[in-house]
Amino acid sequence: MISLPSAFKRAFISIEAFASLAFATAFFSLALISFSSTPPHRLELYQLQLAEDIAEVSVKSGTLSEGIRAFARGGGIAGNELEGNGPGGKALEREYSEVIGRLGDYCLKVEVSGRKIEENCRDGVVSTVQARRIVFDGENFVELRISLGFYS
Amino acid sequence: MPFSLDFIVAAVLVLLIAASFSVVFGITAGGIRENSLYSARARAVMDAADRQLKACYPSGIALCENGFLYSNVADPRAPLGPNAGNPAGQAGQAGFCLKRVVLQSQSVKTAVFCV
Repeated sequence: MISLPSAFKRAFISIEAFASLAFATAFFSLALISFSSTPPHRLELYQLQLAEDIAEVSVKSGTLSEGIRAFARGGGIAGNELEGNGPGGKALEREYSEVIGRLGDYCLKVEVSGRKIEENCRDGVVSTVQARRIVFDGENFVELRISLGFYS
Repeated sequence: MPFSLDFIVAAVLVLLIAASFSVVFGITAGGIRENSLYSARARAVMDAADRQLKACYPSGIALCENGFLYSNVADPRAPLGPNAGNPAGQAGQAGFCLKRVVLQSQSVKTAVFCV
């Protein structure tokens, strides 16, 4: 009588051939699963567009650009209680807080002359995009850096 | 004539591999189809938003003066609600939407575009 293991061995040219077939099937299946769960690349373009939008309106809006210039010099928005020697940024923070509140659950970082404002930032950011603009603060050109972080 | 045990074992193993692969293929094909549909709609709404942002009001929402178009600046009369990307008459048919940040009358606003 033929035993099952020997029948298994005889059924294929070799165990190696069967193992190769099984591994190839498993690999191809895993590759398909991985491919089907890949997020669309267009999402990255949209994220970049949002960061660029915020940077663009920051330099075009009278209130924001004035606030950024004051913030770069170490103050808050002109006419605000934080103007001058105050810690600065609170009024600008409020402005950006409103923007991000309307836009969605994103982490926004605004950096000017080494000073930074963070809005709605916490752990769990999975990707970040950046946009930059050059702003004239009355004496020097300073770099405005907008970072937008996205949660999963 | 009965099949030999060798043939039956080989056939069963190959059928098992083929069946498991077809199950995985069916599931992943569904996932790929959904991703592709999502990608097509995302592309459509992004294109629509871009067209509206870069076309002068009333065909788009951009502020134009003396033949000059201001990027990311919306005309004060332009609606920025969920139908910002839709021509008149298609209000309420929106399904897939995205937001863009624009400046309107010197205040930062969010325009919603839908397809």
